[in-house]
Amino acid sequence: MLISTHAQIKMMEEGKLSLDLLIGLSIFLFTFIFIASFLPGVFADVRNEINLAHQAYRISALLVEDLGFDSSWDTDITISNCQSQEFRPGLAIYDSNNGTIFNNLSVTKIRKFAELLNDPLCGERVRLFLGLNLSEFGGNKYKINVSLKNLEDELIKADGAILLNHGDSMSSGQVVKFERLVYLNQMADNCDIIAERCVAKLEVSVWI
Amino acid sequence: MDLKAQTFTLEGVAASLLILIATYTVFQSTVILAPTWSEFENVQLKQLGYDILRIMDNQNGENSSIGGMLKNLTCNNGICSPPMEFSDNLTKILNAINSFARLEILCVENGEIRTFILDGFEKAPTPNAVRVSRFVIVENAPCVNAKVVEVRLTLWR
Repeated sequence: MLISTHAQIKMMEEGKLSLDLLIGLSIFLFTFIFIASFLPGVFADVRNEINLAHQAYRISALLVEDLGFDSSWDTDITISNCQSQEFRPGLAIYDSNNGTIFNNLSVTKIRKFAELLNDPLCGERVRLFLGLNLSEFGGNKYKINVSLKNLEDELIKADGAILLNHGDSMSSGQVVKFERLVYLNQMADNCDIIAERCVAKLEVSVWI
Repeated sequence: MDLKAQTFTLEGVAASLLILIATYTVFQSTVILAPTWSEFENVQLKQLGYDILRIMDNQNGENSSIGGMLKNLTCNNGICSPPMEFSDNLTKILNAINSFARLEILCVENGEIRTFILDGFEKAPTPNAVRVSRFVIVENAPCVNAKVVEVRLTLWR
């Protein structure tokens, strides 16, 4: 029947919509509109991960290039009062003559940072004040792991104990890592001595 | 030549509607660009470059610091040989961050800018290399009577 209709069209030389044209066109339009409206949604999963790189860079800059708030946070904040105080960790040395010395990290601040991250409640406060807990604003909560290694990828130890390898345990999903080269204000056991400085590598890993 | 009316057929209407819908959809929807991860790679390498120059610029450092290196350069025809401690330390850092480097020193002599290349770090960079600079205060560097030189580090992977 379809063939005879097609033959009729050919003989009559008039445009008429055949049934297969209608079916084919509707299938095509349906698929086209489906793809056009759902294509932005395909990237929805990836959009969260777009921000990970920025968070890793930001946290590394905050730790390496800022002394923290307030300037004596490493002595003022303890495990017992972290819940009630506002603070922001920063590992850089502050010199009264030269100001904040970028990339020069204080071992006492590193130790305090590690201690706070180790405690479950204080660790949450640290993440909150570093801007990694955006759940109040309807955003994500980021997980973080910060470690200090030497140029041979071994964890830096001072007085036999690992200085900094704290945070959440590493995930198997997408993790973004940012590295900075730093030097400590005291000698550690296994750092590399370059230009008379105790050089190490700070790695900040962020994931969701 | 086909003199029959074509636009007034139903096919013509459907075809024009289809073209209109397609064009509208293409121009109306927001285009989402996937993140270019190579940009982040450049940011990481450039930041490491700044960190390297900052770390090695120790006023109290000797031959392994930038200042000490500049004082103990032996230059010949635009190529300078640094002290071995400096080369070894810089090579150690580059191996740790897995990248290659080219180090140049620029200073002004008699009103002209002169460029010196450091021996051992004279490879030609790839097109996607990053470059960082640091101005170092030094007396009588490769250039005569220079007080400030620019140390230019080009990094690539």
